[in-house]
Amino acid sequence: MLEIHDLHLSYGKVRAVQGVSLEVAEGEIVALIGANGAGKSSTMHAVCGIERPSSGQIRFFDHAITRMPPHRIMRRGIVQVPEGRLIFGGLTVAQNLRLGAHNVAGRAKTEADIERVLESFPMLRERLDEPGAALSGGQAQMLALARGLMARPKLLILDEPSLGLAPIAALDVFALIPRLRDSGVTILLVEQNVRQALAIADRGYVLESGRIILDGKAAELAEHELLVSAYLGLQRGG
Amino acid sequence: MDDIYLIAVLSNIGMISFIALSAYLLLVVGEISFGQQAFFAVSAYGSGIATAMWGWPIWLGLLWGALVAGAAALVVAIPTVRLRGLYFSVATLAFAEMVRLIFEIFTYQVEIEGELVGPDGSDGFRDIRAIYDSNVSDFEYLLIIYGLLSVVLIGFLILERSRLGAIFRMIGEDPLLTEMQGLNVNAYKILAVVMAGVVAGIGGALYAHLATYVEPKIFNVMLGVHALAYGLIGGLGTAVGPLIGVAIDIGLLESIRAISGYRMIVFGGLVAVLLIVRPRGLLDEAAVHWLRGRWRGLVRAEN
Repeated sequence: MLEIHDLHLSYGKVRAVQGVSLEVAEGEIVALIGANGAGKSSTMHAVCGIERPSSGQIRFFDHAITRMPPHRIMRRGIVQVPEGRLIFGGLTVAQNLRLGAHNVAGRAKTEADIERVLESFPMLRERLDEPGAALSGGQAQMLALARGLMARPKLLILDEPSLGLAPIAALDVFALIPRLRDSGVTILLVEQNVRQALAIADRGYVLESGRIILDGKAAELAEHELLVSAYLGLQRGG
Repeated sequence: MDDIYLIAVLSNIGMISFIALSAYLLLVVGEISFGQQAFFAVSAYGSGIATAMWGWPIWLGLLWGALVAGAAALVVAIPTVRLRGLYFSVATLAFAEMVRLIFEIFTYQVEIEGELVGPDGSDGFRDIRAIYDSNVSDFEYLLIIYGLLSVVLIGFLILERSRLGAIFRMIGEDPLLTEMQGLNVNAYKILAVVMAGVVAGIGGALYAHLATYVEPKIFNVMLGVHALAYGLIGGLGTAVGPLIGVAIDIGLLESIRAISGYRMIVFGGLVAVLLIVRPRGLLDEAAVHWLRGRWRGLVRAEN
C-alpha cells in the first residue's frame, strides 16, 4: 500500500535521508529501526508531508503523495502518532478523541467510534472529562494511539511509541500493537527499542546514516549478526 | 457630572473590550499580534467616511467598518500566515505602523453644507457626528456598545464550546500536531485573523462615532500592546478573561485617582508579575476547568 522509492531529504547541508526505499503491504506490521539520527523520523515526516523531500517518490495505494500537504495525506488514510508530542493538554480526553475523528462525517458515527476505540483502551473511559495534561506518560501515549484510531486510518505510523515510557507502560503499548493490526490497521512502527519492535513486527528495515543497511523478516533480522552486535549487544550491556 | 464620567469610563471599557477580544483570539491560536490597532483604525476611518461623508445610517456605517477591517485582515493574513512566532509579531507590527503612516498622509475631503468633511492627514478626521445628528444620547450609545459586546462575547463563548474553537486551541498548543490530525492549519489561521480583524473593527467603528474625531496617533502601537496585555492579565482560558483585563486596567487603575499619572507603571508592573506567576492569566485553562467542575457540582447539588 505504501511505497517509498529512492527518497532523499536534507536539512541545509545535513543529508538526513539518502536514498531510502521501502514498502509496506496491507495488513503488515513493518518496523523501521535505527539509532538516534539515523533518519527514521525524517523519513516518516516526508511520508506525512511535514518535511519536503529533495527527491524521490512516495506512493500510497498507487497515488503519488510526495509533497502533498499533511492534511491531505492524512485524509487519504495515513495517520501518524508522532513522537513525544502526544496530546493536547488543554483539551479533555474526550475532546482529544473527537478531534482525531474530524474527517469522519457525522456525530453519531464519531460517538460510535469512541465506544469502539475505548474497548481497546478501558483506562481512558474513566477519564474522558479530565484535561489531557492530567494523564501520565503511558496514558497520554494510549490516548495518542486512541486518537490516531479515531481517524479510521488505513496506515498507522507510530513514531517511537515507547519513548520515555516506564517499562511496564511500554509493554502495554507493544502488547496493543498486534491487536490493532488484527482489527484491520496496517502499521509502520518506528522504534529505537529494537528487540521489542522486532518481536511484534512481520518485517523490518534497519536505517543507518540515512541509508537502509538491512531489511528482511523480523525474526531473521533479530538474529542478524550486524544487528545483534550493533544494537542488541549494546542494549544487553547497557 | 459623576454620571457622565461613569458613562464615559464604561463606554471606554466596552469599546476597548473589542480590541482586547481581537488580540485574545489570536493568542488562542498561538500568535502574538502587535497590530490589532490597525483594524481598529481602518474601521474607525471606514465607518466615519461612510456616515459623515456618504450619509449612510449609523448601523450600516458600523457594519461597513467591521467588513472593511475584516477585508484588511484578510490582506494581512494571506502573506503572514506561514510566519510563526516572532516573525508574525513583527509582520503585524509593521503592517499596523504602515496603516498609521498612511492615515498620516491620507486626505479625502468633500464639501458638505459649506464645510470640508473627511480625513485630513495628520490633522485627523473631524465631525463624525452621526450619533449626535440622530439624537442618540451617551447613555443610549452605551447600551448599543454593550449590546454589541454581548453579542460578540456570546459568539466567543459558543465558539469555545464548538469544534472550531477546539481546533483554534489545538493550533495554539501545537500547530504541527494539529496538521497531523488532517487539519489545514493555515486556512484556520487565516479565518482566525479575519475574525479578529472584524471584532477589532466593531470596536473601532464604535469609537470613531463616540469620539466624533479620530487621528492617526490614537492608533499607535501602545493600543495594540494594551490589547495583548488584557488577555495576558485576565486569562487565556475563556473570552471573559480579556474583559477582566480591560476592567482591571481602565475600570480600576484609571479610576483610582491616587495612582493617576502612575497608571502605566502600575499596569506594566502588573503585567510583568502576572507573566511570571500566571503566564496564561488569571482565568487560565486550569482555572476555567476548575470553575466548570464547581459549577457542575453546584448544579448537581441543586437537583
